Amino acid sequence: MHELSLITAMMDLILKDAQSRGIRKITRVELKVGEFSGAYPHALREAFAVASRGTPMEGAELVIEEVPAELRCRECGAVFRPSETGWACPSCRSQNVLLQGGLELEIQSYHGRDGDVGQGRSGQGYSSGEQEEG
Amino acid sequence: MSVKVVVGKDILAVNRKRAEDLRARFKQMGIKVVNILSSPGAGKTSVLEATIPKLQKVRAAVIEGDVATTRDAERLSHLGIPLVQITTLGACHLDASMVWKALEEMDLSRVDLLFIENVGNLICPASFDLGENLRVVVLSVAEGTDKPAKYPAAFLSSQVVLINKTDLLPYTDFDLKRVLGEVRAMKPDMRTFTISCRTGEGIDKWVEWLEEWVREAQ
Ligand SMILES: Nc1nc2c(ncn2[C@@H]2O[C@H](COP(=O)(O)OP(=O)(O)OP(=O)(O)O)[C@@H](O)[C@H]2O)c(=O)[nH]1
Ligand SMILES: [Mg+2]
Ligand SMILES: [Zn+2]
Repeated sequence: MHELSLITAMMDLILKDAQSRGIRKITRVELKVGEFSGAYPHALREAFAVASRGTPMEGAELVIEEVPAELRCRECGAVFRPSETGWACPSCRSQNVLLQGGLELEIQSYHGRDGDVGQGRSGQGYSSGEQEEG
Repeated sequence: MSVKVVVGKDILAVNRKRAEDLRARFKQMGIKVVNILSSPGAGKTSVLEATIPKLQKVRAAVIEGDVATTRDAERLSHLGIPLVQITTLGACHLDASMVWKALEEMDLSRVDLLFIENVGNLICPASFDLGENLRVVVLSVAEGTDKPAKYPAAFLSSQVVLINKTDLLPYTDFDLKRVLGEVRAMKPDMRTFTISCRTGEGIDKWVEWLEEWVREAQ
């Protein structure tokens, strides 16, 4: 339901970042979406198709890594999936457990092109670089 | 040239930043903020109706979030407190910038506690920090026992659960003990109160705790 606002927020972040790097066209976006995040990949894709129209992100491939929910027992360290019947540890029955995965809503990375410049410089058309941001 | 840019950022980083700004602003104003979440009709507005007249030591204000109508705000208008309605025009949650805008229309100079009633929805509002100091989720016994397990994000991000409509317990198959157990299993330090806005049962205890929290958190 709120996937459109998530997508808009994601696009704002990426487009701003891309602009600062002189990237004119986004070709691929990688997201991490937790099972318990409340966002559904299918709805995210639909929202992206609509929201990206007419932007430098139109047509970009949207790659969504779905992160399953994962619990860790604070008593015995067991790692397990939450069950319908509760969150108690299957090994020691402790209820002192921690959700350590499943709430993610993250932008991992994006791929882009600085169009005109790249074509002029390199004969092969593409080279690929990797940049980190803190 | 084709480049890969590693971002590694929360999708909602911008909202989070806005929420932090809000929190700083509230702190400076000496106001505590409570964000109230629930499914439609669990009783968020009823909790406000039952709670606010009982507050003796703290002065309250309310921001009402609703998709389209101003009905909830009308229900509270007789309380004579600062009250602003945000209509989200279809959006299923409030975000920090909506709250920021609402503040422009409010006089909070004589307020200690600001309630924000979120849009009725247990999924989307869970992801949006509004700069609050306390998140309260209202669960009504009419909704069934499985809500915490089905909507863990809402419960995990809250510090208080109000189990409302306990007057209806005899007519439902709601397993109060089991829900309380599950909520504590999810979050051992969760505060829970069982209340009925209809009969007033349990309201005093909740209000007493809330007033204490407002004063302690100063
Ligand atoms: N029996 C009973 N009914 C209640 C109780 N609390 C609220 N209600 C009723 O439940 C209905 C919904 O209550 P609201 O307070 O409007 O719920 P809400 O969560 O604010 O609803 P939305 O803002 O539309 O999401 C109303 O008809 C209330 O009278 C209660 O403790 N017992
Ligand atoms: Mg309401
Ligand atoms: Zn264990």
